[in-house]
Amino acid sequence: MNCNEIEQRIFDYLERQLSEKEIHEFEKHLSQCEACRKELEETRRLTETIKVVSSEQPKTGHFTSFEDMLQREKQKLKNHEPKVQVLYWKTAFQIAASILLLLGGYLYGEYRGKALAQKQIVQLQEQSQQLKTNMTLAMLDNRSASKRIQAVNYTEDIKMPDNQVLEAIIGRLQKDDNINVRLAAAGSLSRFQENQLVKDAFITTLETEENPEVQIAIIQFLVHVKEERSVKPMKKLLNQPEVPQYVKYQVNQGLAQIL
Amino acid sequence: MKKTSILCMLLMLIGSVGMAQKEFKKSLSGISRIEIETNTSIFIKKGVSNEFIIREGCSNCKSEEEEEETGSTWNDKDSSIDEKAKGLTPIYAGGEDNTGVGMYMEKDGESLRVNDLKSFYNRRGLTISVPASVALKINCGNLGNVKIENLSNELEINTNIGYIKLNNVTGPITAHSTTGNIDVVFSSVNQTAPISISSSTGMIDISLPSNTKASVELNSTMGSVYSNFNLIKPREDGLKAIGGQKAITGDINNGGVKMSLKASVGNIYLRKK
Repeated sequence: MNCNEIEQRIFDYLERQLSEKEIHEFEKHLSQCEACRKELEETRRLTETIKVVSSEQPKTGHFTSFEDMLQREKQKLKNHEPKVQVLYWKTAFQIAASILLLLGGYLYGEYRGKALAQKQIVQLQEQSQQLKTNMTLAMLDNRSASKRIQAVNYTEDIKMPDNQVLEAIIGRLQKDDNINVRLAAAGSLSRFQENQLVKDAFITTLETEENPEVQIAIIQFLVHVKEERSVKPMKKLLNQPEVPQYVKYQVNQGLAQIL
Repeated sequence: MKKTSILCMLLMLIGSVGMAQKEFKKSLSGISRIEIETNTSIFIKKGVSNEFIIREGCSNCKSEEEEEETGSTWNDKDSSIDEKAKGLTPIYAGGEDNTGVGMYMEKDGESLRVNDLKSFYNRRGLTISVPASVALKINCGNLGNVKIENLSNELEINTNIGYIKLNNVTGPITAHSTTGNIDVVFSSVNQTAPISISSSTGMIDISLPSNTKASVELNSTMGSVYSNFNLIKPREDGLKAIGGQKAITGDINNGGVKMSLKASVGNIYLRKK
């Protein structure tokens, strides 16, 4: 054992915590080293003094003064809190301001975007209207009568179809060889009671149409709009022998309403 | 027993030779539409092959009442062979017979046009079978009737005096008869294109399955309209069509394909199957 090791073990030796082998080596070194003997003696005196001192209890006054001191410390902490609160509001305002700024920026961006989107929507609507018109026009020429009727019925969704579509439907009214298509055309055109083009078309068709049902549909429209120009062609129908009786009946009813 | 069965077979053979019912077949590959113009009655049924098969003579073209009136069916009055015409070929004013059954056939793109060259008096009806894939346009001239069974094709039919009887069809149907009655029994209603049926003096009798979705417009200028469907009237906004004093519009089962039934003098019957 060297002096370092002795120094580490001094306390254990004094408390009798060393093994026998270690005690033996410890005392062997001591017998040869005066410095360590001195160290040991001083440490012994120290531990004995501590033992005496530590047996002393704290005076009764100590507790209360400790309590007071604790209370004092507690109060000090409480006084510190208002300062923290003030700080809290400040940061709150800062956060709120930054949020508002963010919101403002976002809303402005959206407004700009909306204006652009509006323009695009209008453009798209026009394109879709044009597409619908083109599709209707193409379908009006379809080989299948059912598809032609479907195209004629499409105009029921459009409030004000353009003249191109109207003329195409008038074409169907006058030239289609399927009676159901002509009837559907007459029904669809009947909605446009103010349109001059439609009124003229009905009058011209009355002079050439031979199918009684289409004739009746035309007569009913012209009577409803009280079109006086139709009186002459209607009277002509009364004189034609091939016109069925029930059509002539409709003519008479109609004339009574116009005149 | 054996003797009678042999006798029967012999008679049948003779009968089949004697009847000489001619038939014309045409493959329908590349054809999506058939247009038939004739003056006689037609019976059309669903065929099993992708062919257009047309046969002279029609055993169920005339209704029972008509057979009673004329006192004969078309079964026995079939095409008897004219002895004097043996060795000669019939020529027609309307065109060339390239089918062998007195019809002129022409292919126009995806359409097949078939025109009848014989007059109504020389005909005893036609029996036709088609697959489900072609659209049909039929014009039966002045006197022919049309009877169709079990077809889901698109049908376009026009007759003058003849009636139109459609059984087990789906549509889309565009049919018109000037005087004949129109009877249609739908097995289901095709929703892709509108249905439009009109008759000037005849009556219209339609049967629909009870769960059909349709928006119907029933219009009888001088007749009555009957139905056992619950028709819900649609909202009336926008321009309202005028004309047709008794136009009845309504939705069946919340609306669906547009169905327009128009009769000028006859009644309209819309039945729930």
